Amino acid sequence: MNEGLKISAVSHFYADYQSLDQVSLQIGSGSVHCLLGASGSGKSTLLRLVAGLEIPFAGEIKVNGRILYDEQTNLLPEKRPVGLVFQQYALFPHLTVAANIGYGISHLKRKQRLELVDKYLNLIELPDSGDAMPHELSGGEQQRVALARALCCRPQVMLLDEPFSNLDPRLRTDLRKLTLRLLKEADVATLLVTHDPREALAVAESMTILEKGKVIQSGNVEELYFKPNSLQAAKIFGPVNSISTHHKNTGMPSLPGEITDLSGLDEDGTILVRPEFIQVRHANGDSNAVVIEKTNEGSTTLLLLELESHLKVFARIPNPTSLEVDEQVHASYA
Amino acid sequence: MRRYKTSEVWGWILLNTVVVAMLLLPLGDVLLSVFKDSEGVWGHLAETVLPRYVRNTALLAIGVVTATVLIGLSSAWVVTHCEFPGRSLVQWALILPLAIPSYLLAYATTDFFQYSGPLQTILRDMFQWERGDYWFPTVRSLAGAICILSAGLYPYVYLACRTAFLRLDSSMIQSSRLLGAGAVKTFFKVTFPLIRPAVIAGAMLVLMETLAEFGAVDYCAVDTFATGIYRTWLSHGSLVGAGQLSACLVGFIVLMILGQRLITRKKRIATNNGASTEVQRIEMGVFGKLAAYIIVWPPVLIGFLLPVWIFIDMTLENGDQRAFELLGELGRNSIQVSLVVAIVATMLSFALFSSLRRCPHLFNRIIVSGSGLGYAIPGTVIAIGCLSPLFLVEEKIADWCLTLFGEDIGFWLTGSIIGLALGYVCRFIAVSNGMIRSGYQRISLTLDDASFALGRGPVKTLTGVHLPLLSSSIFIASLMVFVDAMKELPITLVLRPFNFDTLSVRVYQLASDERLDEAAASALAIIVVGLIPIIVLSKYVFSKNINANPG
Repeated sequence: MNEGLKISAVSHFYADYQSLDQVSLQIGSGSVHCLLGASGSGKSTLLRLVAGLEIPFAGEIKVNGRILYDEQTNLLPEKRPVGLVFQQYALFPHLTVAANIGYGISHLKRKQRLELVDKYLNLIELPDSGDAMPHELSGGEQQRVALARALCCRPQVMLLDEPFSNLDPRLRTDLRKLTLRLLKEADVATLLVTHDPREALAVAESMTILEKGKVIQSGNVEELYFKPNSLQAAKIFGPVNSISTHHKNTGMPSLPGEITDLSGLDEDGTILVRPEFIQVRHANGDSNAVVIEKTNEGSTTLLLLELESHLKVFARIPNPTSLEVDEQVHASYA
Repeated sequence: MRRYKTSEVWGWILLNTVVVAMLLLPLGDVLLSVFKDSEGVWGHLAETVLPRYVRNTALLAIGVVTATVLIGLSSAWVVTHCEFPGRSLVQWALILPLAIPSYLLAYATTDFFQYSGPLQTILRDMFQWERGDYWFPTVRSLAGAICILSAGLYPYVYLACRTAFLRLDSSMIQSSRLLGAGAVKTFFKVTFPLIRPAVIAGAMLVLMETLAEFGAVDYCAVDTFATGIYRTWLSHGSLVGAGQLSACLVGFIVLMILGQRLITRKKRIATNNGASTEVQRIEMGVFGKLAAYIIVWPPVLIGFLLPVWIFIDMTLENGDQRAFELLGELGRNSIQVSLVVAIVATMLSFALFSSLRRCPHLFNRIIVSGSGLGYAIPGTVIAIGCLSPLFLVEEKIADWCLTLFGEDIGFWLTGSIIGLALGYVCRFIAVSNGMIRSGYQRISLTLDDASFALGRGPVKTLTGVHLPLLSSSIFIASLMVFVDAMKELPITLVLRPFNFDTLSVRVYQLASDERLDEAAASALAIIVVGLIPIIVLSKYVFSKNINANPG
């Protein structure tokens, strides 16, 4: 496997405000890395630095061993082996779909170029749309054209800036699969920016969580979900229970069952428990909590429970459920 | 589609039709003159001067459009994409020539470059030249007229391009770069095709202004349609012949507008909707900076700084008591008539567009948008077209008055400023229309619904919701019309009552008599007034929010 994209200790300022602070990450060729964070966390800035649209203040950016940026070098955007798909796709409105895809390969002979464009039109499953204008296509089709246009230049790194955020959820899953398949086949290192943690879990092998320009945690997907290194990192994926184990008054919430994996226990005795690790059922005379809030999430329901010790915990249970607000229930660790 | 009573809809349409028909009366009169007998004048014109009018008008138009596109596009590109000291000043200064009417620019430039002017005098003193020792281009020629008009009119193209560059989705340019295209290829394959509609729109404005230009062309002694129409009326005394010449010009203008529609059909400018990212400007080296200065400063210098300096210099040297008395007297006339026009035009625009809001029927839309046609018609043509309808109405009503009340009201229309004001309104209502229209577009229709739902009727909605929200649009609209009327020359020249001079007419007459010195103070006054809308305009063009509210 090639080294892929390697970003080392990159910092960046907008005027006097530091948008990125010593960010490092590495993505192997053929794998997908997600950059997750709230808006303003610096994820788009990092993308623009890799593309060469902004210049870092310090650090180093390499692709397969070749330096794109360091103290001496700064390759122009057009010289970098980097493709970028914008959130709004940025298709040229005055060019046909085929001309858009072929834009980056105009150095090839006409025949070769047309063959290559045809090949990509087939790959993105739009074989007959070559003569269409971009505005005649649907959002999902435009997204695929933007991807093909970027892939056509044979980049070694692909940057995707919230590429699926403007699409309806049904389409999103299909398109995600197609996109990932094409990227894998092209063996590019992909950096995908998103603010949707479920999307990150669905597509990425590894991910980096950014907040206010700093890396909070970086690693593979399982690690981040199951072993977050901080409450901040854990909360990215939704509400989480932060439970103190040796606080005198509340103590470990007196729930039946045991937390089997205590590796997440930190120094001050706090452990993070995701809501799905708490089980809830109707109380049969052994109630230890009351439901105070109920949110339907489709396949699951998120409950907010108040324990006898007045501690509040989240629990996530599969749907359908007959539990109601104000009902006395029995909660336990799963 | 909102539902209204049919009777109300047709009531509005009928009323608007009458108003707009009156505004378009001069145009109709000009077009009808084609079918009238000019008593040999047309035949005479066709044999003698017509080929020259056609040739000069065409060369002038081609020359000015080419030069303004080159100047406007390159300067807009430089101030948008390059970083150099003074950039933020010059990007504003580049629109200043709009404050100077072309005829003033012509007077000043001619004065500066002519044989007895400062430049040639200095050259002769420096090199001990005598007359005939050297060659110097003549300013009062076709080439000179092209240069003068280009220096005065390029801001139309500059403004259009500058706005288009700012609104251009920057991810387009970034995409192109990332797909491996360099700066030059990106410009020709992406940037230029995307802003072409704006370039064409700017060039069209220049073309219209060039075809309508009277004062500067007249001073440079170039015979074009616009000056020919005036002369046919003045020296041949043939209203029909002038009307027929006007009809030719109008026909040509209509062709041009149709051509533009055809070219820019289906073309849309990709605008930056959403997150706007500032264009990364190129840092320039010494030669780059020099090149940037050579592109951006000369237009400002020739189009604004030089004429202003010349008029200030003249005023200081020759500004005697008489010049300032003249300024006061003429200024009063100019302000008086311009104020009337500004109020009437803005009120009419407001009435037309609020009726359109009330009843957005297709007919009504067509009629209301027809009211602004006069702006595309040269002032000379409007003036000629106004004359016979005005005379007709004047005579009829004066006759009635005489028979009914036994009172002779005489030339109550053409002998007062009413006739002049009507001519102005026909031409300048398009200006106030534009402002009021965009003002109305910013008021969401849901506000009307909310007002109705809260029990307010149409009148209370108009006075309680629309009027307060439109107040700044109404103010700017009347300001723009006021300034346009202050600067106007050909309509004033034809329609003004006897013994009624305005600033622009007096400057024209003095310049024609080679007594420019006496007119310098009046010229400066016109320029100062002309600067007002530039300042207002610059707020719109250079405000940071430009991407937030396209259109």
